[in-house]
Amino acid sequence: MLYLFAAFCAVWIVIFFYLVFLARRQRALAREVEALRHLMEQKRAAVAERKEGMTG
Amino acid sequence: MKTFAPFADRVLPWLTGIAMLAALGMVFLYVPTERVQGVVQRVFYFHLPAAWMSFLGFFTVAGASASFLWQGSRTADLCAQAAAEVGMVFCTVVILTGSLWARPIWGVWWTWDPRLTMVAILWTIYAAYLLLRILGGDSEQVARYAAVLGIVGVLDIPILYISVRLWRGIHPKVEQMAPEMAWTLLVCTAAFLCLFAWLLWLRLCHLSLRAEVAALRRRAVAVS
Amino acid sequence: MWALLWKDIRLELRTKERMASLFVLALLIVLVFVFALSPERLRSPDVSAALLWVALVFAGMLSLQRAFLVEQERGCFSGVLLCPFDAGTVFLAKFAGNVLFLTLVQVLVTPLTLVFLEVQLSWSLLVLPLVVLLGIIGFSAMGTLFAAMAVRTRAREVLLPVLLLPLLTPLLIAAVKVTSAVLAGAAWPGVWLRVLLAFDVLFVITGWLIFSQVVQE
Repeated sequence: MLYLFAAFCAVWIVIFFYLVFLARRQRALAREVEALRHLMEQKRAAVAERKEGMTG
Repeated sequence: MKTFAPFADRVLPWLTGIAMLAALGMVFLYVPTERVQGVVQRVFYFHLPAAWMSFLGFFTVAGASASFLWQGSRTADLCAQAAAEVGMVFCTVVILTGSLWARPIWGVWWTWDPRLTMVAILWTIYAAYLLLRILGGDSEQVARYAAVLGIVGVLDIPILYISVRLWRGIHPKVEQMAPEMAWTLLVCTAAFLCLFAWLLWLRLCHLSLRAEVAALRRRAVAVS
Repeated sequence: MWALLWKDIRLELRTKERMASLFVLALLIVLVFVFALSPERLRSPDVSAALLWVALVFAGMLSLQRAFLVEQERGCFSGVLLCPFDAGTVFLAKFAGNVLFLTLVQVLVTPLTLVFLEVQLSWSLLVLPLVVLLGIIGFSAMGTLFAAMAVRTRAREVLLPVLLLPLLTPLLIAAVKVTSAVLAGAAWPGVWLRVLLAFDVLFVITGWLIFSQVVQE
């Protein structure tokens, strides 16, 4: 009985760990997307500023 | 991939959950206890499907690798990597459940029986595959190397199987099963198949998203 | 193919470093085992067979690494690939070179090992060269394929054994079985020889076909 319990626990633990691993990767990816967006906005702001400087 | 997306995103998790609950219910409530081995035998209903899924994973690796090498499909490359990982997850499940079953039945955690040896070696082959991916990084070349390994790995399986079977020979074979047992096994296999597909899908989505982000970043760097 | 093979041979004749290092390494591995195991253990044919193959595998690993490293370090491998051969030919040349070097090393190491282990002489030992050669062929076929890959990744020293050893398991099981049967003077291990042969054929062909995918730039 104990072994049966342990075996089923093992199955869920392995799958749980894989899901945790996936979730962490997902979060890292989200961070990277955020950084990229930040970069884009900065660049857009810089371009806008330059345009303003040219007209004004 | 796109046509499959709505199904995989909305239906598959629920399907996996329901099938898994049904499988657990059948394993613990419905199926009669086996006469010789007692309750521990119930591990088998998760052990065998997990073994099938790990094989499915490894064959998917080979198929996707071939498609990547000869048709140049990028998605296939990502699919191979995802399948290798999911296959490894199931392979680990097989080894752990098998070990926990063998302890009360055979009296040892591990023995060098053909099938055990085979699973252990397969585990190391695909561990090497994932290690190659991790150590090599994301380059095109490493993707091709991994694909070669994925194909050679599967070619190795039959000859490995023959040699380990000749080498030692106590694993129980599945003989006649009571209909309740067969039904339980079927439901468990279906549940594991859903789980396999779902995990594969999650990983594949994540990998393709990552590839896209990497491409965007390269473009951003190139622009600036 | 012969030109490529000849190039590797000439390079080796000039420096002799690959053969020398292989020979010393194989011999040292045998000696380490002789020191580590008790004399009674060493007399068992199973142990002698295992020892022979462990030495061969490690020496082989070194040989494979040298085969590609020399060209990789000096950037000459792209030159080789620019020659008007297809990749399969390059594979066959590299593979043949490896078989040749390993065989030459084993011509020296195997008899020495047998002497160290005090193996009883018998007529069945006459088959041993054939077994060793079959093992070397299978090892080199798969090894050439993976050495070409491993040498161009960052962690090449670690990666080659990690990739190669699991895939070589069937070959090693078969080779050790045949060798121990031969050393013990037991019945003709035909089944295992067939496994060995099947492995060789399968992986020489696979390597020849798939090598172009590995060396593509």
